Amino acid sequence: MAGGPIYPSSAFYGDSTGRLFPAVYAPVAGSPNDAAREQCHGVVGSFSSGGNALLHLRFHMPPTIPTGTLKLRSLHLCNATSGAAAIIVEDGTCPVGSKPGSVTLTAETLYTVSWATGEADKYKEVKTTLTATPAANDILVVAIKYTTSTLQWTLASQLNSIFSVIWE
Amino acid sequence: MAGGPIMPSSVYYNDSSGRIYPLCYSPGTSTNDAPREWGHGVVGSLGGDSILSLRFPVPPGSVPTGTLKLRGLFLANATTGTINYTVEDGSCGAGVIPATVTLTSETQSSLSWGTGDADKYKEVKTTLTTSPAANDMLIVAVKFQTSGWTLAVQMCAIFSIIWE
Repeated sequence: MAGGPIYPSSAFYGDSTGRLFPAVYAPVAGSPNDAAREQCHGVVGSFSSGGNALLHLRFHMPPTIPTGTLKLRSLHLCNATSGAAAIIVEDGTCPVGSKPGSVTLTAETLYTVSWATGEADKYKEVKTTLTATPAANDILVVAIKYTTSTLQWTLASQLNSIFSVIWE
Repeated sequence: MAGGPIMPSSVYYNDSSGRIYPLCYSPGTSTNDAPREWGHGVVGSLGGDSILSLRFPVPPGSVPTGTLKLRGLFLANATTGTINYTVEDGSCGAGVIPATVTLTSETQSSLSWGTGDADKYKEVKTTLTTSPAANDMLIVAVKFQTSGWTLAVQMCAIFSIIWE
């Protein structure tokens, strides 16, 4: 049976220069409704001017692991009609009795998410299949690496992201 | 069917002396890209009892089958020392004052660090007396107790409830 979503039990902004931060996304397009704003993980615009930055996440696994493929579901919001963000997801599983800070993480394939005309303020979704195969009650350790190393970050506006894990 | 985890919908640090607090745990040593994590901090060499007040919303429909437990995960950069805490729990339905619900004290838990335990998850599962109904609010007090507390460094705790 499919499972989740599970939201992070912890999110740490691993960037000493403040380019990652808790954000409230306020859309600007169209006529906003009465629940237009939303809490997200923010990344500064023109992020390409600095080095990589890391968001540290933890997800507690349930006592029974659902069937299906484990994925990190990423929803991204941006007030933009052009530009791209580049992200590498790293994941590993940590059972009780192990060090979460020393678990080996597997880097998944870098993905880019691009904005075009008509996409401002809309949810854009990326599902990343994870290599980790956590057991019941394990802690899933995830690093979101916002990356400029391949010079693929061209988004000039602030990026806003929401992460969860699902099985489907 | 087993259920959870459910993380707290509310956390209150009930200690006017600041001995418990939100904490970003940073391990003494780390090798990966996601070493840091938020939890509830308790000072080293705890000098007085301190209470963490928690709320867990119980799901609608059918409450999961299995035994309801408070799952505590603990991190400390330590190779020696012991902590002690007592879990108290009760269930509050709509129309009831949560602050006056009778809480049941479970048997005190004790957890010790040894060589090789630094920065590792240590786990305690406490079976709860409470049997909440669907949509109830589970009320939990975690009383960290100074008596017998020998852990000299700060400790990071993370709590959830599960049915298993």
